Amino acid sequence: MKIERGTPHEWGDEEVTQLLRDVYASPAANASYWDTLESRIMARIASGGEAPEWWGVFHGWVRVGLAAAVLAGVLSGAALLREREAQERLAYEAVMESASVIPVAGPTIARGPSHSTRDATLRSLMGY
Amino acid sequence: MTLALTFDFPSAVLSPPEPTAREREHELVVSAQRGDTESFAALVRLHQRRAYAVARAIVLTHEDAEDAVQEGFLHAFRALDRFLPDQAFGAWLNRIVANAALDITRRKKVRDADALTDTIASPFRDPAESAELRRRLTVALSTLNERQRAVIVLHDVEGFKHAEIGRLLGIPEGTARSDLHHARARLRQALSAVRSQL
Repeated sequence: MKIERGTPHEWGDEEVTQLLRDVYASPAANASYWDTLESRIMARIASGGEAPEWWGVFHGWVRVGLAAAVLAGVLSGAALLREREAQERLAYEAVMESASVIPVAGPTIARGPSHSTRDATLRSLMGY
Repeated sequence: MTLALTFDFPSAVLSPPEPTAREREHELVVSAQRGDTESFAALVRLHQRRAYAVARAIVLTHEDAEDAVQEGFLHAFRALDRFLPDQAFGAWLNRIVANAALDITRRKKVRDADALTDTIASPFRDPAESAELRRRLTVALSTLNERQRAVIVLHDVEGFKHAEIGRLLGIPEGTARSDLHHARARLRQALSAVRSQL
């Protein structure tokens, strides 16, 4: 293909064809390119046509994440329940303990003078 | 003598003939239609190069060609149960790939010759002439409509016949001939102004 400066070159069909073939040459002669393309095609088919996206890597972790979240919820719920029961029990015991020492008239008086400071304080407060 | 001859060639007489490529492909298609993805993968291996060439003739970039090939194979896989195994799988697939490539081209409608220059690369002996030829060819290709460009590449680069191109692109054979003629004329005209020295 001899092209001289200043002279328009008349292109023949063969030359145009050759140029096109050079330009549109296959991207890779090695097999690895085609192996990769095949893998991508089959992966696309396996995924049901969804194009792989960056968040696609999380798909495999969705079930694990959900299971972990459920487990964490159950454990925290159980812990809250136990905490609440403990608080209720403490409150109940506190009330019962308080009720047992409130110097309501009869029994305390009937018991006679107490030696405890607490009873003395209560008696004082109640105008005994 | 007769006995000896008979005894000498039993394997040639009794062994089944090797399946032809067409028969092998037929088996793969039937197997793939039954849900065997390995068979479909074998079909991909057999046809992906040609499918890429078809797509590349229609779209403007290598990346778009790859997308079209993937789209085409995906469509083919989904439509596999409607394919008649007695037909030529390659021709059926290439039509699907061509349609996928045409869809991509219509969506993108890239007409920017500068963008094309980066995507079409070719090794020539003289870098200066190479660059000028590439630029001219790129500009010329971008002035062709998508059908003309596909026709000339499919014919001149991939060696498809006019009738095959017509079937691929869904146009009459005569239209394919006409498109080829006009495309060549336009490329010749665009390249004829290139001046260089060797």
